[in-house]
Amino acid sequence: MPADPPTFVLQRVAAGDQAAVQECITRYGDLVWSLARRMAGRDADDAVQEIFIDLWRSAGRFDPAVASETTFVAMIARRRLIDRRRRESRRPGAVLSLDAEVPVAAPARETIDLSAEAAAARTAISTLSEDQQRVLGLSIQRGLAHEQIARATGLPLGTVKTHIRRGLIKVREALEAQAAGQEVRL
Amino acid sequence: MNPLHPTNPVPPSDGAEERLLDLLTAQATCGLSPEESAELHRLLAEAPGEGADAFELAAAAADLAFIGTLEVMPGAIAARTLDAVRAAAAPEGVAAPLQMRAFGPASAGRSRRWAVAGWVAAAACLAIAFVGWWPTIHRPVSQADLASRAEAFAKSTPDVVRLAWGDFNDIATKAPPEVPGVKGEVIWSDSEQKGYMKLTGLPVNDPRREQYQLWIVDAERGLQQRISGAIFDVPAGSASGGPATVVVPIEPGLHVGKAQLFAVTIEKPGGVWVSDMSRRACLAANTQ
Repeated sequence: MPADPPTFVLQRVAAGDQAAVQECITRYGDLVWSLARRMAGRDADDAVQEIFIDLWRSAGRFDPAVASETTFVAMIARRRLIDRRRRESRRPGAVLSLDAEVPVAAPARETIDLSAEAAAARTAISTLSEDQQRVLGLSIQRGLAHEQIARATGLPLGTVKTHIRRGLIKVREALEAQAAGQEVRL
Repeated sequence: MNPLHPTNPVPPSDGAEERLLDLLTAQATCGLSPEESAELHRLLAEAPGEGADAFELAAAAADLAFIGTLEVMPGAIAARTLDAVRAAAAPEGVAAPLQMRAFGPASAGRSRRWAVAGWVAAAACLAIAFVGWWPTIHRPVSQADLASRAEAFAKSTPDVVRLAWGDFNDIATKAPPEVPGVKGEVIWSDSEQKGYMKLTGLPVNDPRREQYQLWIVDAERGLQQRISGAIFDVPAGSASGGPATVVVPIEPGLHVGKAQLFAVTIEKPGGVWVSDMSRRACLAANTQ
């Protein structure tokens, strides 16, 4: 009896199912595009291509027991975008101006239940102090370097790093609890 | 077992653990230099319990938690991305040949699959690419049934357009096509994303040597990213005393925003990913 086909589109991509590549772009294109527009600005087009090529290469590493497909896709996308940003910042004359990269209004759709992990993360973040939430937001969402956050907030660099680290550990613990099927207790 | 901490970690020294957490945090938020990356790998090797991706996954989940609304990725960028992935796949030969079944007229009673070989090289070499080539697998349907379905579709679909075939002359030189004089029509609906084409006068083809391929030009994607709408044959049985007539379903693999042009070319068996449009047959334009 033939084995059941893989359920997840990334597993199908990893198995060489070429139709799954298109399905992957259809399913996660808006998410990746939104992340790229925010973190790569006018280079979002190139960044999206780079991200999906990396997804195609990394699809075999996706393990549904570890993370949801959405979170895995977001992780690969963020990794590529952070790499791009670092490359750009090393380019002579390059200036990282996040405000200048805020995209113009574009067609949008509501995000509905992106992943259960996102909900768990939101719950975990809500338990952090106001300062910790602010610093984590500047780091995760705005993509600011730790030094930039220190300058923007007036907090010592060490405190910024600690806030980010504690925030991520808190989220990680929430994800661990969820992966283990436990109620998230914070 | 905790998937993010697959084993109980061997506790590194306090200093090493601090450094490891620092690097994992930096990796997940602002990236690492090559030197830092090497240091992280070394520290992770010494602390096998620490999930290498755990902080990055946490950062991704945190990002998703507050991402708000998503922007819709433009179709042209989706198409370019698809091409880019294919091009990346091609040189390494990782992707298996595409298995597909042509939209062959069912009266031939065939249920064949063609492996599409050679797309890899073609995609890398030619400047003009097409997108959306993942045809649906069809059960055999008779030509009479297809003709009935086409008419029913034309009558029941509000936005259907019916476009007459004309000669597909060379755009630059105006040279006539290899197969002139094809008659018939395209029946297409942008809202339904499907349609039918009736063709009379296409020569019977030997699918071992060549096949017909339909291309759709989407006004949103432009001429350079033609979408493959069907690969089909004209079997000997379709020419009963007069010119061969076939009805072929059109089901493109990608969304067509506004179909502007339909064109039929002759390609190698299984069709091509990119076409030089040198072997042309017929063209239907939507001027509405």
